[in-house]
Amino acid sequence: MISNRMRSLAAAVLVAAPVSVSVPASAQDALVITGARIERIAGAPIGSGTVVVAGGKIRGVGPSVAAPNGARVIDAKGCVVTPGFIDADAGIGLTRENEEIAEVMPEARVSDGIDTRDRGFRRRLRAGFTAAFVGPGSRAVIGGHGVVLKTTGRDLARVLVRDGTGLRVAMGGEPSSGNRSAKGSPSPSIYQRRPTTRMGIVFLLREALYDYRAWKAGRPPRGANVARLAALDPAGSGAIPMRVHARTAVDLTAMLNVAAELDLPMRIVFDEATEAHAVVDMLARRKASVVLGPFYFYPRDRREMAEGANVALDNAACCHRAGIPLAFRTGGAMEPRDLRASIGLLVGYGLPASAALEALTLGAARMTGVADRLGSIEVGKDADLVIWEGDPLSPTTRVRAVIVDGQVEYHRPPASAAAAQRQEGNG
Amino acid sequence: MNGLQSSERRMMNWIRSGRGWLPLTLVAAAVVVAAAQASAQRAVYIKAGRVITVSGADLTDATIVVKDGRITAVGTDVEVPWDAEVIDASKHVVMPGMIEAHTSRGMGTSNETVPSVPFLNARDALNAVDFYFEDRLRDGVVALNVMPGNRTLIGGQGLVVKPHGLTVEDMTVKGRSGMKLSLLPIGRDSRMSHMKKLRREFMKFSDERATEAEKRKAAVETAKAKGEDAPDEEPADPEKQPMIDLLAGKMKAFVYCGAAADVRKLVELDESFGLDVVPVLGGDSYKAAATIAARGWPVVIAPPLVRVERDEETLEETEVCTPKAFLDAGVKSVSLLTSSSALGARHLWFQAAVAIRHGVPRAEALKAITLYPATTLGIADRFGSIEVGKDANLTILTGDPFDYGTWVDRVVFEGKVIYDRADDKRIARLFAKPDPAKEKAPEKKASKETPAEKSDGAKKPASKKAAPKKSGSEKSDGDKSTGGDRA
Repeated sequence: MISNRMRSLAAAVLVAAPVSVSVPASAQDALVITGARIERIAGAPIGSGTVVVAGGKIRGVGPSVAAPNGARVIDAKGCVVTPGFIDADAGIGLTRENEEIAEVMPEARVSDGIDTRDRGFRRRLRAGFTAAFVGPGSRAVIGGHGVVLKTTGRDLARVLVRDGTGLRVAMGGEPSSGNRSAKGSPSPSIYQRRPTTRMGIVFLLREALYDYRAWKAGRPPRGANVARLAALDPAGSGAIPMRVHARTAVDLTAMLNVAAELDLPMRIVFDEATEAHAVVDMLARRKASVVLGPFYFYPRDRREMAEGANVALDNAACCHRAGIPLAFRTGGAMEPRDLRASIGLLVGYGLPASAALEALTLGAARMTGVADRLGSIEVGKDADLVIWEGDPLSPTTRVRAVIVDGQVEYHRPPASAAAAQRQEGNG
Repeated sequence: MNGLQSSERRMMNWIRSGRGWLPLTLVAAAVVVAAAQASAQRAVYIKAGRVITVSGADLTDATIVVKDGRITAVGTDVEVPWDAEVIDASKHVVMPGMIEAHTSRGMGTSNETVPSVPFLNARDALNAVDFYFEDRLRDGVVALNVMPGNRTLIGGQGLVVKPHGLTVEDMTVKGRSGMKLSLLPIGRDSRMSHMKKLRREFMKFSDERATEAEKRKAAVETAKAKGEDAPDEEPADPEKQPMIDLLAGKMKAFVYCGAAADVRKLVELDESFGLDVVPVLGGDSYKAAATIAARGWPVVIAPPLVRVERDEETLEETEVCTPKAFLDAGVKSVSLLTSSSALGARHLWFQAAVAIRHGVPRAEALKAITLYPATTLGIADRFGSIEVGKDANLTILTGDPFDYGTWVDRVVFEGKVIYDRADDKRIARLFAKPDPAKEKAPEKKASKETPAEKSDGAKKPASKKAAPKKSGSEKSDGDKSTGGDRA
């Protein structure tokens, strides 16, 4: 094993030596993408450039970067290279995503229960999403801490980008829907517990945060579990965002009002936020961010079925115009390829294309607390790249290849092989 | 009565006096002109930046001449009279109006609880003022086949309508498009009992038809023997007639198959009873694509168009694009449908774009939302392509049909504009002219409020740069520079 590696290392040096002295020994695992339009996100796009990748990181990007010898070269002429997209709230990998122990459960950690081999991850990969935030479900008022993972479907140690990058809070109908107050014999059913109304949800949230604030100020905890209060600290102190699942304008404003009342340095990121367009000024003033999606076409005669009935096609455009940071999510309810194509439509509805691309990459990385590693094509960042066969937002565009940590993790199968796979089934 | 008589008398006096002759002649002339206009409309000239004919090559800077709602000429060398009525789409793309070959929307509950109801007609349930039709028109659709849903055995008849008009009569394009059948079991039925019931219904009506034919033959022969004229045909039983027509091949059978396994049963039905089959295919029906191709059936594909198949052994997933699979297998006509599951899937053009993404040639994808559904519905003599002799049922787009920045600008039906985006109040706010002063104000405000915290200096120039780019694609419409520089 060792001798093998030594031998190949020596070979690399021998081959490299006559041409250039500056070639690093790691050139072996190097990958060079040439001739593509490069959407760097951080900085203007490069019309035709090169990205050099080695050791799982981006080593160079520019109109002409010297490729290390022995590097694998991918000719991507006519293609577009973007940073890997990030699904800012994927809702996959947890067989059951709602903990029923308590309504306020900040101690729960998704990283303790996630199946990183869930096929949802590789589905994201094939659609150009190389990382995903996974949070707990939205049936508890405070549901626990989420995690950012790469979507290669390998073990947690290999795919973990960062743990505890967002605390799930849920407003609106979901935590209370179907609940009945537990009269008589207590039952462990999720439906037999409080709260049963929006008022109850806001009360529980306020109670938890008041307890936290008092504890933080040095007062003895009011009968509350100290571990629980400590688990609220990262979000309460603003180190990580509160990932608040809220759809309606009522829920969005209720959360902002609780935050204002408590005067804690919390960072609020709203998930789904269907009616954000109705309260954009308030969201902008309170410096909230939004993670929009999933996107359905709510037929007008069926809208009442969906919570957050005031659906606006230009929700994203309105938020962008108001200066609200944006990201996008499948919410576990939408195929990732449909999410990407839907965002193209949002551009048709007034969101600038560059803002859409930023929201899918750096915007999502910022909101999920991983912008130091993901979200843009910059030297030193993780080599998570997607090679698109055209405009990355167009529904007609295909993914040619997806690169994660410098490895080609997905490559579109050649057309003939795909055709050969199809056979007449006999039912 | 009196008043009338006196006014008549006065009129006659006026004419007799000689002063009335000239005006009367003018009035008569005007009446003649109006009558002529009513019987033969003046030609309408549609100037198009690009014409996607579907049946032939695309044309640039062409004119479509429409007379009495029919296309009488298409070409680049058409001379437009100085006083002609012109629909100016010279910065736009004109394509045949899109057609949806099957839908069960716009009619409230789409299936009767009784499984076998061939005598029902979707016409009786169709709600002309349903928002659904308004949306379809906005999306550039000119004809839809509204049929009972898939939760049925023999579900009733459908009709082809245009999504414009206040009554079913206004909307009707073709009164009877076909019979809806479904091979998907309903309720607690297994596939076996569902099929048993279907066979029984077919046998019943098949026998009925044979008996009726024999009776008729006997009646004619008796009359002949007596030296009398053949008796009049018995009036048709309206409850039985639809099935008799179906079995005689006088009506198409739109049959929903939820799986490849159902396709074999459809083959059995066709072989036993000789139907004019249009399979509506969902689930993994694409696995029977070769069988379908061999029978020469046109197919209607139910969404989703992309299926994820998982290998039971390796758990590896592969994506299959169903229209591609059917075309690869040799199916000649593929019609795409929309769904409300994802944002884009409500648009026929989007469904075609998805097919293109998975390797369906652009020309085929275009036909799958125009000419193929028109042929499948039996309305290709009027719809589906821009050709001389067809009705001028057109969709005018601001750009390429597969570009996400494109909007349906106008819809033309029989030469008349029935939808104009400029008058569409529901989406007007998306096109509100950006007021430069107003546009800048919120951005400034936002940046003032977040001075130190956000170091996203990169974000501001990016969004500013993009703003004119976007407006370029929207305002200058036909201009394709945006798509080009992004690709």
